[in-house]
Amino acid sequence: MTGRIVLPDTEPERPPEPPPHGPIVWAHENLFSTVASGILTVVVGTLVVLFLVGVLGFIFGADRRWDAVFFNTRLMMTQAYPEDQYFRVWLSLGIIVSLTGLSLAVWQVGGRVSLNRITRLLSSIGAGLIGLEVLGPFSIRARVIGILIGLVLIGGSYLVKRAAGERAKQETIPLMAIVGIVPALGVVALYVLRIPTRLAEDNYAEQVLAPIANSTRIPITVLFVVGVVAYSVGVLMLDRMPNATARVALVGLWVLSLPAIVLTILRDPELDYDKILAIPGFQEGYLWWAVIFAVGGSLLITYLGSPARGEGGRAIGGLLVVVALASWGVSMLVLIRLFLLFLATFALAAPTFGGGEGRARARIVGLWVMTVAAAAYFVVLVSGPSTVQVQTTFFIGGLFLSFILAIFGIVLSFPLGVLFALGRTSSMPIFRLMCVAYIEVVRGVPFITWLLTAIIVFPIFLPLGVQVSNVVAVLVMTVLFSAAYLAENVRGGLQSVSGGQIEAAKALGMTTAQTTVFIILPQALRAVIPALVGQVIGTFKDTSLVIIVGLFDFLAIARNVIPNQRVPFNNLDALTEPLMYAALVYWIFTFSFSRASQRLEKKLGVGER
Amino acid sequence: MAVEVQQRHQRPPLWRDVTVLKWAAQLVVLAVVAAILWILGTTGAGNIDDRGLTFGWRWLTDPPGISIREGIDLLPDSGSRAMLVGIVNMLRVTVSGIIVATILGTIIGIARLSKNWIVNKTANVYIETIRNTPLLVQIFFWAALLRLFDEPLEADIGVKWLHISSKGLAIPWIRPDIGFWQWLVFVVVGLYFARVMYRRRIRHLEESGEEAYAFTYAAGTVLLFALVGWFAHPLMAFLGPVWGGIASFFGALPTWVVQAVLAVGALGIAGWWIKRFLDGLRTPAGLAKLTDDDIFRIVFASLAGVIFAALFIVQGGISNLVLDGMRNLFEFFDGKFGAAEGGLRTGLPLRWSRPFVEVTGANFFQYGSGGIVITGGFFAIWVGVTLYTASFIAEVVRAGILAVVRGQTEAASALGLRRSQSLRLVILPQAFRIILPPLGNQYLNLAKNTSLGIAVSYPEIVLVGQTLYNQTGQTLPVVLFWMVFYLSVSLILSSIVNYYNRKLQLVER
Repeated sequence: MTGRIVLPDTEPERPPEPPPHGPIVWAHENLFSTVASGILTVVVGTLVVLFLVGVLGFIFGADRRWDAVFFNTRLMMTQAYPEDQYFRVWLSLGIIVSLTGLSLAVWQVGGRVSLNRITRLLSSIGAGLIGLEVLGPFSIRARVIGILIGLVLIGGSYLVKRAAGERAKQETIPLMAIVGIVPALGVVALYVLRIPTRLAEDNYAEQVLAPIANSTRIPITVLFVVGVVAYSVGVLMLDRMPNATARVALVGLWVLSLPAIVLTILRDPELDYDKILAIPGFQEGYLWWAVIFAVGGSLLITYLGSPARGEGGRAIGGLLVVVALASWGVSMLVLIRLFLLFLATFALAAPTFGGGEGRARARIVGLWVMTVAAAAYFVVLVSGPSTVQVQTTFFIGGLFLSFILAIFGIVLSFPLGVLFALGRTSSMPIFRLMCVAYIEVVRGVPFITWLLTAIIVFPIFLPLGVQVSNVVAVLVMTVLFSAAYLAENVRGGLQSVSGGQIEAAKALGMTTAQTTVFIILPQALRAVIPALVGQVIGTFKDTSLVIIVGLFDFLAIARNVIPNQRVPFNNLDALTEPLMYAALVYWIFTFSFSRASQRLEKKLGVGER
Repeated sequence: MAVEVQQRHQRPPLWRDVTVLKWAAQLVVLAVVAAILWILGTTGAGNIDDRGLTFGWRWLTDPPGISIREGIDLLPDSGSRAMLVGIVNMLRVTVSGIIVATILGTIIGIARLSKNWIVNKTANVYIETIRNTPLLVQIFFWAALLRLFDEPLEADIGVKWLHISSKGLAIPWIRPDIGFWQWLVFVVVGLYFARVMYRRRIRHLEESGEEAYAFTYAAGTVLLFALVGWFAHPLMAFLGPVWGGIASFFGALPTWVVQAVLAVGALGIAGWWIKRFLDGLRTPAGLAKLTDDDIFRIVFASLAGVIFAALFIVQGGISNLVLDGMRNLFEFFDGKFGAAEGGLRTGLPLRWSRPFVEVTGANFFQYGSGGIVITGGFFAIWVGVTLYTASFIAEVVRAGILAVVRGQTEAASALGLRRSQSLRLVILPQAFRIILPPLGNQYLNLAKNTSLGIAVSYPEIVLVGQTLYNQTGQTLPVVLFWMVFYLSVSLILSSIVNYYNRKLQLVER
């Protein structure tokens, strides 16, 4: 009754023949596919080899002064930060490393890779090493050792791959474990490797072998351990608590840690409570003002946020804005002006975002109290003297200063840039005109002109008696400059949000402000994340320009300080070496950032949805 | 029903009317911004007074008392002349940089897509290295590299083909000679005829389908004119008196005429823009209803026209400046045509010139006036800016080529075109449309990045300006001068790019 379909006897289906492979096939396909391609290969190959021989001969030549760089590492990182206070720098790095470790774990960065990719990477490292040894100006002994290591890498990875067989193609190995090996190798190198160097008393190129980084290997080891521990804690945290909570908490920690590192740890070393209370600000009643504003502001926000207020709440908020702006014309504590400005912002936002259910209101009140506390704390710290004694006006320099300028520039310019982007796409012509004028004027003029302007023109427009240090002036300018570029990036995102979304939000009865914050901005910002990463890279590269207005950033130390040193060594002819080192450090950061951004772009699927 | 609905629809009260609220908010913010600017302005004016400084433009005409390292005038007699030297220096880097960066960037961008592994990887390494290092580091590096060479020594004295020292790079160069400007007239006329020839050949190609060699014909025309002009350029001597006449005409023109022409021009441009704007809104059904936005634009345009017209009338100095500029220009032409010192101008238009090292003073060796000497500053800023921009242009070109639909390449190869042909005739023309706007952006960036010349003492406009305000104390006017200059450069470059962009877009439809 039920018929069975009988399949005819067939051979079992065979997988298709794998295409032929091997080095000769590869070379035929990729180097000598046509006659023209073959000629091109020979010509370009010869040029590349000649170029590499020249460059390697230059870099590893006998008259290069790389010791000028090695001996000034500390100077390049932090300028003249006092030796006895150096644990503060390590503490800051420790905070950053542990937060990074936690974030890597919580955001589950990396995923898994296949053994194939790792063996391929190892064998290309081996090939690179062999090429380096062959082309560079090295002694026979160094060449033999280098080539042997290269061959071992290539052969070893080939054997591992053969042994693993088909399993080599499965993505099983966590990427972070592989990435973690790199700093681990670095730490091991601190203890094992020795580099030729000169004795301080002797200027006559006396070559001895000394360990790399004699004084810093203990802290660096500790930092590495801290990073590993933080990552493991992050992995554990991922199992124990809801992911969203962990992420919000981490973002909060990052935001708080940045000013805390710069203002508390690096700048003001006296972590003594009595000292902080003795700062003049408190005798003027900073603490009491903070308490008054925290309590009064909370009551006001609760009152305004109540749905019964209706339009009256917004009117009071608008009034507060006028009061806050007027306060800048009357002489009073800067802290009170800041508080008034914050309060006006919160009062305006309260009816829109704090209305309705009680939890939303509790959240906005909590945010207010935290804002008051943080503002009071940091204003007190900034107005107090720094006890870190350095010769220059700013307490830290070098790479740390470059990072401070870049990070604060980006973070502070973000809200401003979003505001300008919203203004530029707004339907209100005067807002739009003002934003367009601002954005185009800022973008039309080079950054260096703006920096010079900040240094020479800011003082003219400030009231008498108010002085701004060059670092602050440059930071303000970086923020204003970066905001204009950011606005253009965000504008692209805003324009990519489809009109249907806005109409749907309107149909649900959302106000314009709610539509913008809850519907448009999240979609717009997600769409422009790669562009924003590009801007972060750009701002980081742009911080190198502050050398021209006389700040001691990373590049300034490499270009202006090291080639002028006479003690302990005569570094007057060390010109290109610090610059090449600076280029390498900048390159490592920007290149890894751009690679991370490409991965992110793929993960988010920008342009595919 | 409908009538009832309309009756219920009342205007909301004033404080809930969206239009009123929006305009009120805008005006309030405008007032706040204006107030902030006013406060800053009065504080600034007060500070300037208190410090005994002055704000003015006298420095533009006063002798600046500075010398400039390189440029068209090493000892300028006025501040404006010094700034002009800076501008010319900046334009030298910008123009030559744009040309070379475009060629280099296109080659690297195409190489990045090559199937040849080594070519592909080389291009990739170039892009990733250059793009991810700050430009200033690169500029410093090139400057430092040149300083590794020796100074010119006694052994170097003599005429050279090529000479590198820590003072720069000396190469042979072609210099304009006595008959240059007369000859240039031939070349310009030749360029015009080449254009005519090019169009005729293209038309011939379209009508007959034969290979027309349009480019060869056009180039041949220019060469022919240049060759004839090489010998016949004294024929153009008659232009000298003509230029002289025009110059004296501008000299005799009273200022008020120029003022009137400029004012009418400003109003006319505003009127023309408004008319065009309204034409754009006109539909077959008549003029569309103007929104708040449209009205604002019209008001703004007319306001700008009136303000500029008023400015031209009130500030007679602007018209004088225009008048003087025109007179000087034609007087300059007058001096270059017609009779030279020894009768008719019959010398060669161009002269081949080779660099030489000479000794001045006590054992001080330096380059003489022959050939062209690429100074350390120029070398560093030019190489830095060009290589840097080329890496960005390469990425732009690559993205543009990838954006051309794949079917186009396949269709080209199906027609039997070689890879180079399909690239030249099919892909690049289409990719160019996509490339143009970001390419224009890169040109703008290059122009702005030349300001880094200040870091290697290359006297472009920022460095000259800085020297000037150090000398005169006029910081604010110099800063304003910079801003106006860079904004004009941006505006001019972006309007050129926009013009071509629009032209290309039209072809597409």
